[in-house]
Amino acid sequence: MSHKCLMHGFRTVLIWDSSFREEAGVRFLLRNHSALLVALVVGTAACSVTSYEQPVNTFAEASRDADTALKALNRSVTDAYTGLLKQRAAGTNAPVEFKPGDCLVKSDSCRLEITLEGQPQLLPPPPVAGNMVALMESIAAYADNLAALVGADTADEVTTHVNAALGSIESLAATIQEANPGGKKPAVNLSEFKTPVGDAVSWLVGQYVASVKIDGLRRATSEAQPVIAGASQVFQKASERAAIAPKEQMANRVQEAFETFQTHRTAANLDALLLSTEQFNQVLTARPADVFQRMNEAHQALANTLQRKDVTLAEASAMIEQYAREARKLAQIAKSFIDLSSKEG
Amino acid sequence: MLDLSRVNQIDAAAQEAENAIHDLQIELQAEGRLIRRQAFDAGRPLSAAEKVRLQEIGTAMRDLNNALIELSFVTVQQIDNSETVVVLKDRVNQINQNLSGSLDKLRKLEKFAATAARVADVLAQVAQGLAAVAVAVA
Repeated sequence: MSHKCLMHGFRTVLIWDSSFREEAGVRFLLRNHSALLVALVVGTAACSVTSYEQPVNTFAEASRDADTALKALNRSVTDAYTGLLKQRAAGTNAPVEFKPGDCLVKSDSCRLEITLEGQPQLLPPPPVAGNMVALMESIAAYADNLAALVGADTADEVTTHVNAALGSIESLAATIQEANPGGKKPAVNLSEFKTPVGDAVSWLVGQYVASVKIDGLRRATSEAQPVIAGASQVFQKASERAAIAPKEQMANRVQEAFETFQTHRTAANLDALLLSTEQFNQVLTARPADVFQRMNEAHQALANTLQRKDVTLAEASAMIEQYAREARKLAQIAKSFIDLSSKEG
Repeated sequence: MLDLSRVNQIDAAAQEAENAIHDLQIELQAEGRLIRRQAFDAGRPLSAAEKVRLQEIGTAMRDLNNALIELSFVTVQQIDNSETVVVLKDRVNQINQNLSGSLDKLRKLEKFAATAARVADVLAQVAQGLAAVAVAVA
Protein backbone atom coordinates (compact mmCIF):
# COMPACT_ATOMS: atom_id res chain seq x y z
CA MET A 1 0.00 0.00 0.00
CA SER A 2 1.59 3.29 -1.03
CA HIS A 3 2.21 6.30 1.19
CA LYS A 4 -0.12 8.29 -1.05
CA CYS A 5 -2.96 5.82 -0.55
CA LEU A 6 -2.56 5.90 3.24
CA MET A 7 -2.63 9.72 3.35
CA HIS A 8 -5.73 9.66 1.13
CA GLY A 9 -7.39 7.38 3.66
CA PHE A 10 -6.47 9.61 6.62
CA ARG A 11 -7.86 12.66 4.84
CA THR A 12 -11.16 10.81 4.51
CA VAL A 13 -11.32 10.37 8.27
CA LEU A 14 -10.80 14.11 8.87
CA ILE A 15 -13.52 15.13 6.37
CA TRP A 16 -15.98 12.74 8.00
CA ASP A 17 -15.27 14.04 11.44
CA SER A 18 -15.84 17.71 10.54
CA SER A 19 -19.00 16.84 8.59
CA PHE A 20 -20.55 15.18 11.62
CA ARG A 21 -19.95 18.11 13.88
CA GLU A 22 -21.31 20.71 11.43
CA GLU A 23 -24.48 19.25 10.04
CA ALA A 24 -27.42 18.14 12.12
CA GLY A 25 -29.29 17.16 8.99
CA VAL A 26 -27.02 14.22 8.39
CA ARG A 27 -27.69 12.36 11.59
CA PHE A 28 -28.86 9.38 9.59
CA LEU A 29 -25.26 8.89 8.35
CA LEU A 30 -22.72 6.76 10.23
CA ARG A 31 -21.37 8.02 13.59
CA ASN A 32 -19.34 5.24 15.11
CA HIS A 33 -15.62 4.37 14.93
CA SER A 34 -16.16 1.39 12.69
CA ALA A 35 -17.40 3.78 10.02
CA LEU A 36 -14.12 5.68 10.24
CA LEU A 37 -12.19 2.45 9.86
CA VAL A 38 -14.33 1.49 6.84
CA ALA A 39 -13.67 4.93 5.37
CA LEU A 40 -9.93 4.41 5.81
CA VAL A 41 -9.96 0.94 4.24
CA VAL A 42 -12.29 2.00 1.44
CA GLY A 43 -10.09 5.05 0.89
CA THR A 44 -7.26 2.77 -0.22
CA ALA A 45 -9.51 0.95 -2.74
CA ALA A 46 -10.01 4.21 -4.60
CA CYS A 47 -6.26 4.64 -4.79
CA SER A 48 -5.73 1.07 -6.16
CA VAL A 49 -8.45 0.95 -8.77
CA THR A 50 -7.21 4.00 -10.69
CA SER A 51 -3.82 2.30 -11.09
CA TYR A 52 -5.57 -0.48 -13.04
CA GLU A 53 -7.22 1.80 -15.57
CA GLN A 54 -4.27 2.00 -17.97
CA PRO A 55 -3.35 -1.73 -18.03
CA VAL A 56 -7.00 -2.80 -18.29
CA ASN A 57 -7.60 -0.39 -21.19
CA THR A 58 -4.44 -1.64 -22.92
CA PHE A 59 -5.59 -5.24 -22.46
CA ALA A 60 -8.93 -4.35 -24.03
CA GLU A 61 -7.27 -2.67 -27.00
CA ALA A 62 -4.92 -5.63 -27.51
CA SER A 63 -7.86 -8.03 -27.42
CA ARG A 64 -9.62 -6.00 -30.11
CA ASP A 65 -6.49 -6.33 -32.27
CA ALA A 66 -6.28 -10.07 -31.58
CA ASP A 67 -9.96 -10.31 -32.58
CA THR A 68 -9.23 -8.46 -35.85
CA ALA A 69 -6.28 -10.78 -36.54
CA LEU A 70 -8.29 -13.94 -35.96
CA LYS A 71 -11.10 -12.72 -38.21
CA ALA A 72 -8.59 -11.90 -40.94
CA LEU A 73 -6.98 -15.35 -40.66
CA ASN A 74 -10.42 -16.95 -40.79
CA ARG A 75 -11.25 -15.00 -43.91
CA SER A 76 -7.95 -15.68 -45.65
CA VAL A 77 -8.15 -19.46 -45.16
CA THR A 78 -11.78 -19.47 -46.33
CA ASP A 79 -10.90 -17.33 -49.38
CA ALA A 80 -7.91 -19.53 -50.24
CA TYR A 81 -10.05 -22.65 -50.07
CA THR A 82 -12.76 -20.94 -52.13
CA GLY A 83 -10.11 -20.15 -54.77
CA LEU A 84 -9.12 -23.80 -54.86
CA LEU A 85 -12.73 -24.97 -55.30
CA LYS A 86 -13.26 -22.42 -58.11
CA GLN A 87 -10.13 -23.68 -59.89
CA ARG A 88 -11.46 -27.20 -59.75
CA ALA A 89 -14.94 -26.12 -60.84
CA ALA A 90 -13.59 -24.24 -63.86
CA GLY A 91 -10.67 -26.51 -64.70
CA THR A 92 -12.11 -30.01 -64.32
CA ASN A 93 -15.32 -31.95 -64.91
CA ALA A 94 -16.14 -32.07 -61.20
CA PRO A 95 -19.96 -31.89 -60.91
CA VAL A 96 -21.28 -28.40 -60.06
CA GLU A 97 -25.02 -28.36 -59.27
CA PHE A 98 -27.58 -26.36 -57.34
CA LYS A 99 -27.87 -27.56 -53.76
CA PRO A 100 -30.97 -29.82 -53.73
CA GLY A 101 -34.10 -27.69 -53.19
CA ASP A 102 -32.28 -24.39 -53.75
CA CYS A 103 -32.54 -21.69 -56.44
CA LEU A 104 -36.25 -22.18 -57.12
CA VAL A 105 -38.91 -19.50 -56.81
CA LYS A 106 -40.09 -20.82 -53.46
CA SER A 107 -36.65 -21.80 -52.17
CA ASP A 108 -35.24 -20.17 -49.03
CA SER A 109 -31.82 -19.80 -50.62
CA CYS A 110 -29.83 -20.30 -53.76
CA ARG A 111 -26.54 -22.14 -53.34
CA LEU A 112 -24.16 -24.15 -55.51
CA GLU A 113 -22.41 -27.40 -54.65
CA ILE A 114 -19.30 -28.95 -56.08
CA THR A 115 -18.71 -32.67 -55.64
CA LEU A 116 -15.13 -33.71 -55.09
CA GLU A 117 -14.16 -37.30 -54.29
CA GLY A 118 -17.79 -38.14 -53.78
CA GLN A 119 -18.32 -35.36 -51.20
CA PRO A 120 -20.58 -32.40 -52.04
CA GLN A 121 -19.39 -29.05 -50.71
CA LEU A 122 -20.93 -25.62 -50.84
CA LEU A 123 -19.43 -23.23 -53.35
CA PRO A 124 -18.41 -20.80 -51.95
CA PRO A 125 -17.88 -22.55 -48.62
CA PRO A 126 -19.15 -20.86 -45.43
CA PRO A 127 -16.53 -19.16 -43.19
CA VAL A 128 -14.49 -21.91 -41.63
CA ALA A 129 -14.04 -20.66 -38.04
CA GLY A 130 -17.43 -19.18 -37.09
CA ASN A 131 -17.41 -20.55 -33.53
CA MET A 132 -13.84 -19.47 -32.80
CA VAL A 133 -14.51 -16.01 -34.22
CA ALA A 134 -17.55 -15.74 -31.93
CA LEU A 135 -15.44 -16.93 -28.96
CA MET A 136 -12.74 -14.32 -29.59
CA GLU A 137 -15.43 -11.65 -30.02
CA SER A 138 -16.80 -12.62 -26.60
CA ILE A 139 -13.33 -12.39 -25.09
CA ALA A 140 -12.84 -8.94 -26.65
CA ALA A 141 -16.25 -7.94 -25.22
CA TYR A 142 -15.19 -9.26 -21.82
CA ALA A 143 -12.03 -7.11 -21.98
CA ASP A 144 -14.17 -4.10 -22.97
CA ASN A 145 -16.48 -4.82 -20.02
CA LEU A 146 -13.46 -4.82 -17.66
CA ALA A 147 -12.43 -1.45 -19.09
CA ALA A 148 -16.00 -0.10 -18.72
CA LEU A 149 -16.09 -1.27 -15.11
CA VAL A 150 -12.77 0.29 -14.15
CA GLY A 151 -13.54 3.49 -16.06
CA ALA A 152 -17.19 3.94 -14.96
CA ASP A 153 -17.62 7.54 -13.94
CA THR A 154 -20.29 6.78 -11.36
CA ALA A 155 -18.52 8.81 -8.69
CA ASP A 156 -18.18 11.80 -11.03
CA GLU A 157 -21.85 11.55 -11.94
CA VAL A 158 -22.81 11.52 -8.29
CA THR A 159 -20.77 14.70 -7.78
CA THR A 160 -22.57 16.22 -10.78
CA HIS A 161 -25.95 15.40 -9.23
CA VAL A 162 -24.86 16.79 -5.89
CA ASN A 163 -23.70 20.01 -7.53
CA ALA A 164 -27.02 20.20 -9.37
CA ALA A 165 -28.71 20.03 -5.98
CA LEU A 166 -26.91 23.26 -5.06
CA GLY A 167 -28.91 24.96 -7.78
CA SER A 168 -32.05 23.98 -5.98
CA ILE A 169 -30.83 25.74 -2.85
CA GLU A 170 -30.75 29.08 -4.65
CA SER A 171 -34.40 28.67 -5.68
CA LEU A 172 -35.18 27.42 -2.20
CA ALA A 173 -33.79 30.65 -0.79
CA ALA A 174 -36.06 32.56 -3.19
CA THR A 175 -39.04 30.47 -2.07
CA ILE A 176 -38.32 31.29 1.56
CA GLN A 177 -38.15 34.95 0.62
CA GLU A 178 -41.60 34.75 -0.99
CA ALA A 179 -42.93 33.06 2.10
CA ASN A 180 -41.61 35.97 4.15
CA PRO A 181 -42.28 39.13 2.17
CA GLY A 182 -40.46 42.14 3.58
CA GLY A 183 -37.92 39.93 5.36
CA LYS A 184 -34.33 39.65 4.35
CA LYS A 185 -33.52 36.96 1.85
CA PRO A 186 -31.53 34.27 3.64
CA ALA A 187 -27.87 34.64 2.89
CA VAL A 188 -27.11 31.69 0.69
CA ASN A 189 -24.02 32.48 -1.30
CA LEU A 190 -23.30 29.51 -3.52
CA SER A 191 -19.81 30.59 -4.45
CA GLU A 192 -18.74 30.69 -0.81
CA PHE A 193 -20.77 27.78 0.33
CA LYS A 194 -19.18 24.43 -0.35
CA THR A 195 -21.64 21.99 1.04
CA PRO A 196 -19.66 19.75 3.35
CA VAL A 197 -22.52 17.26 3.38
CA GLY A 198 -22.58 17.03 -0.39
CA ASP A 199 -18.81 16.74 -0.54
CA ALA A 200 -18.70 14.06 2.12
CA VAL A 201 -21.45 12.03 0.51
CA SER A 202 -19.82 12.36 -2.93
CA TRP A 203 -16.48 11.33 -1.53
CA LEU A 204 -17.79 8.37 0.40
CA VAL A 205 -19.79 7.18 -2.58
CA GLY A 206 -16.63 7.51 -4.66
CA GLN A 207 -14.75 5.28 -2.28
CA TYR A 208 -17.51 2.71 -2.22
CA VAL A 209 -17.69 2.75 -6.00
CA ALA A 210 -13.95 2.07 -6.13
CA SER A 211 -14.35 -0.94 -3.87
CA VAL A 212 -17.20 -2.27 -6.06
CA LYS A 213 -14.92 -1.87 -9.09
CA ILE A 214 -11.92 -3.62 -7.58
CA ASP A 215 -14.11 -6.42 -6.27
CA GLY A 216 -15.72 -6.77 -9.72
CA LEU A 217 -12.33 -6.90 -11.44
CA ARG A 218 -11.01 -9.53 -9.04
CA ARG A 219 -14.02 -11.76 -9.41
CA ALA A 220 -14.27 -11.46 -13.20
CA THR A 221 -10.58 -12.07 -13.90
CA SER A 222 -10.48 -15.01 -11.51
CA GLU A 223 -13.51 -16.64 -13.21
CA ALA A 224 -12.22 -15.86 -16.68
CA GLN A 225 -8.66 -17.07 -16.24
CA PRO A 226 -9.25 -20.81 -16.91
CA VAL A 227 -11.44 -19.89 -19.89
CA ILE A 228 -8.84 -17.53 -21.36
CA ALA A 229 -6.17 -20.21 -20.82
CA GLY A 230 -8.28 -22.78 -22.69
CA ALA A 231 -9.20 -20.38 -25.48
CA SER A 232 -5.56 -19.38 -25.83
CA GLN A 233 -4.54 -22.98 -26.48
CA VAL A 234 -7.29 -23.48 -29.05
CA PHE A 235 -6.43 -20.24 -30.85
CA GLN A 236 -2.71 -21.02 -30.82
CA LYS A 237 -3.31 -24.25 -32.69
CA ALA A 238 -6.04 -22.98 -35.01
CA SER A 239 -4.18 -19.81 -35.96
CA GLU A 240 -1.00 -21.68 -36.90
CA ARG A 241 -3.03 -24.04 -39.11
CA ALA A 242 -4.98 -21.12 -40.60
CA ALA A 243 -1.78 -19.19 -41.35
CA ILE A 244 -0.92 -21.90 -43.91
CA ALA A 245 -3.29 -20.24 -46.39
CA PRO A 246 -1.55 -16.85 -46.72
CA LYS A 247 1.83 -18.62 -46.58
CA GLU A 248 0.76 -20.83 -49.46
CA GLN A 249 -0.24 -17.83 -51.52
CA MET A 250 3.03 -16.11 -50.82
CA ALA A 251 4.92 -19.33 -51.60
CA ASN A 252 3.19 -19.53 -54.99
CA ARG A 253 4.07 -15.90 -55.72
CA VAL A 254 7.69 -16.49 -54.83
CA GLN A 255 7.77 -19.67 -56.93
CA GLU A 256 6.36 -17.83 -59.97
CA ALA A 257 8.77 -14.94 -59.55
CA PHE A 258 11.61 -17.47 -59.20
CA GLU A 259 10.64 -19.36 -62.38
CA THR A 260 10.19 -16.10 -64.31
CA PHE A 261 13.65 -14.97 -63.29
CA GLN A 262 15.20 -18.35 -64.16
CA THR A 263 13.66 -18.15 -67.64
CA HIS A 264 14.38 -14.45 -68.24
CA ARG A 265 17.25 -13.20 -66.13
CA THR A 266 16.66 -9.46 -66.12
CA ALA A 267 17.23 -6.86 -63.41
CA ALA A 268 13.48 -6.16 -63.23
CA ASN A 269 12.65 -9.84 -62.74
CA LEU A 270 15.34 -10.12 -60.06
CA ASP A 271 13.86 -7.10 -58.23
CA ALA A 272 10.42 -8.70 -58.40
CA LEU A 273 11.85 -11.93 -56.98
CA LEU A 274 13.65 -10.09 -54.17
CA LEU A 275 10.49 -8.17 -53.27
CA SER A 276 8.41 -11.32 -53.15
CA THR A 277 10.93 -13.09 -50.90
CA GLU A 278 11.01 -10.08 -48.56
CA GLN A 279 7.20 -10.06 -48.32
CA PHE A 280 7.15 -13.81 -47.73
CA ASN A 281 9.73 -13.39 -44.95
CA GLN A 282 7.45 -11.01 -43.10
CA VAL A 283 4.61 -13.50 -43.30
CA LEU A 284 6.80 -16.42 -42.21
CA THR A 285 8.18 -14.56 -39.19
CA ALA A 286 4.70 -13.54 -37.97
CA ARG A 287 3.80 -16.20 -35.43
CA PRO A 288 0.07 -15.92 -34.73
CA ALA A 289 0.32 -18.51 -31.96
CA ASP A 290 2.59 -16.16 -29.96
CA VAL A 291 -0.10 -13.48 -29.77
CA PHE A 292 -2.61 -15.85 -28.20
CA GLN A 293 0.00 -17.14 -25.78
CA ARG A 294 0.71 -13.53 -24.73
CA MET A 295 -3.03 -13.00 -24.28
CA ASN A 296 -3.10 -15.78 -21.70
CA GLU A 297 0.10 -14.60 -19.96
CA ALA A 298 -1.10 -10.99 -19.79
CA HIS A 299 -4.50 -11.97 -18.41
CA GLN A 300 -2.97 -14.37 -15.89
CA ALA A 301 -0.64 -11.60 -14.68
CA LEU A 302 -3.56 -9.17 -14.35
CA ALA A 303 -5.63 -11.71 -12.42
CA ASN A 304 -2.67 -12.56 -10.15
CA THR A 305 -1.86 -8.95 -9.35
CA LEU A 306 -5.52 -8.28 -8.49
CA GLN A 307 -5.43 -11.28 -6.17
CA ARG A 308 -2.09 -10.00 -4.80
CA LYS A 309 -0.31 -13.18 -5.86
CA ASP A 310 3.40 -12.67 -6.50
CA VAL A 311 2.98 -10.41 -9.50
CA THR A 312 3.33 -6.66 -9.18
CA LEU A 313 1.15 -4.28 -11.16
CA ALA A 314 4.27 -3.08 -12.98
CA GLU A 315 5.10 -6.65 -14.09
CA ALA A 316 1.50 -7.25 -15.19
CA SER A 317 1.50 -3.94 -17.09
CA ALA A 318 4.69 -4.90 -18.93
CA MET A 319 3.16 -8.24 -20.03
CA ILE A 320 0.01 -6.48 -21.15
CA GLU A 321 2.06 -3.99 -23.17
CA GLN A 322 3.89 -6.86 -24.89
CA TYR A 323 0.57 -8.55 -25.72
CA ALA A 324 -0.64 -5.24 -27.14
CA ARG A 325 2.44 -4.78 -29.35
CA GLU A 326 2.29 -8.28 -30.79
CA ALA A 327 -1.47 -8.20 -31.31
CA ARG A 328 -1.22 -4.86 -33.13
CA LYS A 329 1.53 -6.22 -35.40
CA LEU A 330 -0.37 -9.43 -36.16
CA ALA A 331 -3.57 -7.48 -36.91
CA GLN A 332 -1.66 -5.39 -39.48
CA ILE A 333 -0.07 -8.44 -41.11
CA ALA A 334 -3.32 -10.39 -41.06
CA LYS A 335 -5.17 -7.55 -42.80
CA SER A 336 -2.61 -7.74 -45.60
CA PHE A 337 -3.51 -11.44 -45.94
CA ILE A 338 -7.02 -10.41 -46.93
CA ASP A 339 -5.66 -8.03 -49.59
CA LEU A 340 -3.52 -10.90 -50.82
CA SER A 341 -6.33 -13.42 -51.05
CA SER A 342 -8.70 -10.95 -52.72
CA LYS A 343 -6.09 -10.26 -55.42
CA GLU A 344 -5.35 -13.95 -55.95
CA GLY A 345 -9.06 -14.91 -55.86
CA MET B 1 -11.54 -28.97 -16.19
CA LEU B 2 -11.54 -28.13 -19.89
CA ASP B 3 -10.92 -31.10 -22.20
CA LEU B 4 -8.50 -30.13 -24.94
CA SER B 5 -7.64 -33.69 -26.00
CA ARG B 6 -9.75 -33.66 -29.17
CA VAL B 7 -8.30 -30.32 -30.29
CA ASN B 8 -4.79 -31.62 -29.55
CA GLN B 9 -5.48 -34.79 -31.59
CA ILE B 10 -6.74 -32.81 -34.59
CA ASP B 11 -3.77 -30.45 -34.42
CA ALA B 12 -1.24 -33.29 -34.06
CA ALA B 13 -2.64 -35.15 -37.10
CA ALA B 14 -2.55 -31.96 -39.18
CA GLN B 15 1.03 -31.19 -38.18
CA GLU B 16 2.12 -34.71 -39.15
CA ALA B 17 0.53 -34.34 -42.60
CA GLU B 18 2.04 -30.85 -43.03
CA ASN B 19 5.49 -32.16 -42.13
CA ALA B 20 5.19 -35.00 -44.67
CA ILE B 21 4.23 -32.50 -47.42
CA HIS B 22 7.06 -30.18 -46.36
CA ASP B 23 9.59 -33.06 -46.59
CA LEU B 24 8.41 -33.82 -50.15
CA GLN B 25 8.73 -30.17 -51.11
CA ILE B 26 12.28 -30.04 -49.77
CA GLU B 27 13.18 -33.02 -51.97
CA LEU B 28 11.59 -31.44 -55.06
CA GLN B 29 13.33 -28.13 -54.36
CA ALA B 30 16.68 -29.94 -54.03
CA GLU B 31 16.10 -31.80 -57.32
CA GLY B 32 15.34 -28.53 -59.14
CA ARG B 33 18.48 -26.90 -57.71
CA LEU B 34 20.60 -29.90 -58.79
CA ILE B 35 19.29 -29.79 -62.38
CA ARG B 36 20.07 -26.07 -62.73
CA ARG B 37 23.48 -26.43 -61.05
CA GLN B 38 24.51 -29.33 -63.31
CA ALA B 39 23.69 -27.27 -66.42
CA PHE B 40 25.55 -24.23 -65.04
CA ASP B 41 28.63 -26.26 -64.02
CA ALA B 42 28.73 -27.86 -67.47
CA GLY B 43 28.55 -24.40 -69.00
CA ARG B 44 25.51 -25.22 -71.12
CA PRO B 45 21.82 -24.17 -71.26
CA LEU B 46 19.12 -26.43 -69.87
CA SER B 47 18.16 -29.30 -72.16
CA ALA B 48 14.54 -29.79 -73.31
CA ALA B 49 14.17 -32.74 -70.93
CA GLU B 50 15.53 -30.74 -68.02
CA LYS B 51 13.07 -27.91 -68.77
CA VAL B 52 10.19 -30.37 -68.80
CA ARG B 53 11.34 -31.87 -65.52
CA LEU B 54 11.63 -28.41 -63.93
CA GLN B 55 8.08 -27.60 -65.07
CA GLU B 56 6.86 -30.85 -63.54
CA ILE B 57 8.61 -29.94 -60.30
CA GLY B 58 6.94 -26.50 -60.32
CA THR B 59 3.52 -28.08 -60.91
CA ALA B 60 4.11 -30.63 -58.16
CA MET B 61 5.11 -27.84 -55.73
CA ARG B 62 1.89 -25.97 -56.49
CA ASP B 63 -0.19 -29.15 -56.10
CA LEU B 64 1.43 -29.77 -52.72
CA ASN B 65 0.70 -26.15 -51.71
CA ASN B 66 -2.92 -26.68 -52.67
CA ALA B 67 -2.99 -29.82 -50.55
CA LEU B 68 -1.74 -27.70 -47.63
CA ILE B 69 -4.62 -25.26 -48.13
CA GLU B 70 -7.17 -28.06 -48.07
CA LEU B 71 -5.55 -29.54 -44.99
CA SER B 72 -5.56 -26.13 -43.30
CA PHE B 73 -9.25 -25.56 -44.07
CA VAL B 74 -10.37 -28.98 -42.89
CA THR B 75 -8.26 -28.80 -39.71
CA VAL B 76 -9.54 -25.36 -38.71
CA GLN B 77 -13.10 -26.53 -39.45
CA GLN B 78 -12.69 -29.59 -37.21
CA ILE B 79 -11.23 -27.51 -34.36
CA ASP B 80 -14.05 -24.98 -34.79
CA ASN B 81 -16.70 -27.72 -34.57
CA SER B 82 -15.18 -29.33 -31.47
CA GLU B 83 -17.16 -29.33 -28.24
CA THR B 84 -14.26 -27.51 -26.53
CA VAL B 85 -14.97 -24.32 -28.46
CA VAL B 86 -18.70 -24.49 -27.72
CA VAL B 87 -18.04 -24.94 -23.98
CA LEU B 88 -15.59 -22.02 -23.95
CA LYS B 89 -18.08 -19.76 -25.72
CA ASP B 90 -20.78 -20.52 -23.15
CA ARG B 91 -18.45 -19.81 -20.24
CA VAL B 92 -17.27 -16.46 -21.59
CA ASN B 93 -20.88 -15.43 -22.20
CA GLN B 94 -21.70 -16.23 -18.56
CA ILE B 95 -18.76 -14.17 -17.33
CA ASN B 96 -19.87 -11.24 -19.49
CA GLN B 97 -23.33 -11.44 -17.95
CA ASN B 98 -21.84 -11.30 -14.45
CA LEU B 99 -19.75 -8.27 -15.42
CA SER B 100 -22.89 -6.54 -16.72
CA GLY B 101 -24.34 -7.20 -13.28
CA SER B 102 -21.44 -5.30 -11.66
CA LEU B 103 -21.96 -2.40 -14.07
CA ASP B 104 -25.69 -2.33 -13.27
CA LYS B 105 -24.84 -2.24 -9.57
CA LEU B 106 -22.77 0.88 -10.16
CA ARG B 107 -25.58 2.51 -12.11
CA LYS B 108 -28.11 1.77 -9.35
CA LEU B 109 -25.64 3.05 -6.78
CA GLU B 110 -25.35 6.28 -8.76
CA LYS B 111 -29.13 6.83 -8.67
CA PHE B 112 -29.42 6.00 -4.99
CA ALA B 113 -26.41 8.07 -3.96
CA ALA B 114 -27.52 11.07 -6.00
CA THR B 115 -30.93 11.02 -4.32
CA ALA B 116 -29.42 10.55 -0.85
CA ALA B 117 -26.96 13.39 -1.41
CA ARG B 118 -29.66 15.71 -2.72
CA VAL B 119 -31.96 14.98 0.20
CA ALA B 120 -29.18 15.48 2.76
CA ASP B 121 -28.06 18.71 1.19
CA VAL B 122 -31.51 20.21 0.79
CA LEU B 123 -32.45 19.31 4.36
CA ALA B 124 -29.29 20.95 5.62
CA GLN B 125 -29.85 24.09 3.59
CA VAL B 126 -33.51 24.36 4.47
CA ALA B 127 -32.47 24.17 8.09
CA GLN B 128 -29.96 27.00 7.53
CA GLY B 129 -32.41 29.05 5.45
CA LEU B 130 -35.21 28.77 8.01
CA ALA B 131 -32.80 29.64 10.81
CA ALA B 132 -31.76 32.79 8.91
CA VAL B 133 -35.42 33.75 8.35
CA ALA B 134 -36.19 33.19 12.02
CA VAL B 135 -33.28 35.45 12.95
CA ALA B 136 -34.37 38.13 10.46
CA VAL B 137 -37.97 38.05 11.72
CA ALA B 138 -36.88 38.13 15.31
